[in-house]
Amino acid sequence: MSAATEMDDKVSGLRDHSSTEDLSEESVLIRDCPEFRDVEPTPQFEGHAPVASIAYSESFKDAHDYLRSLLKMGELSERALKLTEIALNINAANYTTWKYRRDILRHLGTNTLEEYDYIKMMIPDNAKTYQVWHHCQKILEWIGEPMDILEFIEEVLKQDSKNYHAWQLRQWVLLHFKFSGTAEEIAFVSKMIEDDVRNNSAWNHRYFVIHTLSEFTDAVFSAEIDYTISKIKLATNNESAWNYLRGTLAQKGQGLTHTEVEKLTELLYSRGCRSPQVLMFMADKLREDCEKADASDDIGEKVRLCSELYEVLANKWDKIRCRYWTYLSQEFSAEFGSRIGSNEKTEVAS
Amino acid sequence: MEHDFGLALLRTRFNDEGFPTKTSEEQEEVEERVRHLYQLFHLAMEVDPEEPKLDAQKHILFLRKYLRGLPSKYECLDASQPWLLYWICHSLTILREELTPKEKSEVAQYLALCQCPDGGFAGGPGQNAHLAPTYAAVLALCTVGTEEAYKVIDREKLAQFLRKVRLPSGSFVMNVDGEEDIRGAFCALIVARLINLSLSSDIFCNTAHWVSQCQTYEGGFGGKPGLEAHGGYTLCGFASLALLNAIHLCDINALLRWAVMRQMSFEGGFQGRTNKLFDGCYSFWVGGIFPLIQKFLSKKATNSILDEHWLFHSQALQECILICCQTSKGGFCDKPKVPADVYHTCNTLCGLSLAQYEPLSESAEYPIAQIHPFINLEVSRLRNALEYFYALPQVA
Repeated sequence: MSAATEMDDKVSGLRDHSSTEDLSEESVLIRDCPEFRDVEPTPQFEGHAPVASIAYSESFKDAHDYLRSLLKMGELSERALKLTEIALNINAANYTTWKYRRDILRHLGTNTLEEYDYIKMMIPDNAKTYQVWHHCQKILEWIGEPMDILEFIEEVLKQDSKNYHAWQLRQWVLLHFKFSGTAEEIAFVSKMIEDDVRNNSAWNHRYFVIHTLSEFTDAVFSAEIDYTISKIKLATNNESAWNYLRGTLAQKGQGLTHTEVEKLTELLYSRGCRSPQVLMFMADKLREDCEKADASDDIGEKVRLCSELYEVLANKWDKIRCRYWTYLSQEFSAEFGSRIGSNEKTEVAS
Repeated sequence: MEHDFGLALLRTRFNDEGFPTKTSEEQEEVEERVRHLYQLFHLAMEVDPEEPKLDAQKHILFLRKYLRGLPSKYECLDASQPWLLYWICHSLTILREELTPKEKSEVAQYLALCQCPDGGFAGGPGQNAHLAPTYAAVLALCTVGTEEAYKVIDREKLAQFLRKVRLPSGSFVMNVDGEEDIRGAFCALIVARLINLSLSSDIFCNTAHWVSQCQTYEGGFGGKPGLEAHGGYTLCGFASLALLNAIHLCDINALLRWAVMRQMSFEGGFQGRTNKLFDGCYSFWVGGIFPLIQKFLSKKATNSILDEHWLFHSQALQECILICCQTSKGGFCDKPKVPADVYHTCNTLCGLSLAQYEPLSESAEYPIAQIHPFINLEVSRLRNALEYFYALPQVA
């Protein structure tokens, strides 16, 4: 490669770089704005050798040097508000800038509805940043009504159906504004589960709606068990559904015992299903039966079956967790091993 | 256990049971990437039975380069600068690479600039105090471990800051006017434990009860009561209960079941939530839960497995870290085909250290140091810091 073409490459590389920077900036530097002519910028590093210092871009340094100055002066003004917007566009994870922005908004008494539109615009590009979601929550608190936030969250969840912050804000909104329309919320979450039966965030939300927002009646309990069973039949090793089932049963306080659930595991097992989730539930249920049994009850068969399940989980169906299954098996044997029929004792793996 | 080279007999692919969904498709896509790497590893192992190896020198070079300066893509962590220092210094310490006296002094001086006049540390000079950088700064200073570094921390003022961010419920907001979640309690408790603030003071009144409410029906902990169980929040919650001597407030068997289920059958690494993808960073967040659970359970257990092995598959996790997360240019990443960064480098190294220091492990295979599972300091740095701060009068 000749020196000339090498140079060309470098220059065009630079040009590419600067043109993308121009696009992302969309505005001139603060130091060139007449509005800020009276402000002396405050650099981050003063007299110290910075370690692990970030190679900040010009626009980043420019905005934040001025922001530091205004913050130090405690200036609560329109131009400061504008500056926070520029800085947050560059780094939406700066909690100090967001707090400053709220201080300015409080002071100026700015239209909170406009701020609500602004934060909705900011969230999609920063959907994994704590601060944008928190700001949204604060603004809703100020407005005092939920606006169209539930629809907005639904839109965000279309992009990322497991976005933790989105589900978190949703729970907060439902609690804070004392939502009574749990039927609608159940319909929403059923649709989410319909879209992806393995979406654990949706299952968790269902649990929240059922147990925190509504009354957990016997009818609700039965309906939830039926619903979960129908979903387990679609994908028998779906941990989300099994966990939900366990959680729902636990709320009833009767352990893992339930006729319909027992029918389900029997059906699946007899059809040859060896999903670890199914075997795991069966083992836990047998163990629970043994724990509940009186000293005089004959639990030999249950002890044998449970030990066998632990054994096949450890050595065949769920080998990655072999230590865990061995641990449970050993604990179980220590407690119930002596209650197995004496003629069968030798068959059981320890 | 019989020897299973490269764990080929152990690994089980995801089965969508003829019912594919977005979750299963994404899972299968990642497994395909991982399968490719494990295949290459099998070929490499035929040539060099020492594989997989930790390329410590390459990681040290990567970390040292970043200690001097970070590329501009780290701009988004401008409000987490103490974290950057902690991740780099802690990673180097795990790799047994000592900082020079000059570097130690520079790190201490820089963190001093991040300390706020009213107490606590900020994400950078001139920013507001926040619990996460406070945690990171204190851990980084303890990792540096010089008297100059210890002396940076204004303990009285730090206690004042904690009082400003605690809520009557016992939980904490991360900063004044900031968000409330379980990280707050965890950061406050770890810092208090390290620098000798009284854990029985009013600051932590009701905290154990609030934290215990974050345990979900799945067994792990969420960020707040009602939220989904998550690896990071689970370590925060369980460690908080341990520090407050309140493990009895949680269902430990459910927690253990949830934690073991996070290990992926094919990849060997941990996912952070049910039905999500594995990510190298959970090697620490989820891996770190086990030593504590096992210590607690072994008090009442009848068998000795708890004192001998981790209940997760240690070899599978280590292979995942070394084969899927270790990058050829130095540093570790979240999952294959993603560039390395200092956060994932630190958390995978922490996970590797946890996995290798299994209770009965004969000797460390790799030249890496041991960490304390949930305080997450190298053990000698932890000992030195406790010695220093507990020779000072306790801050009430």
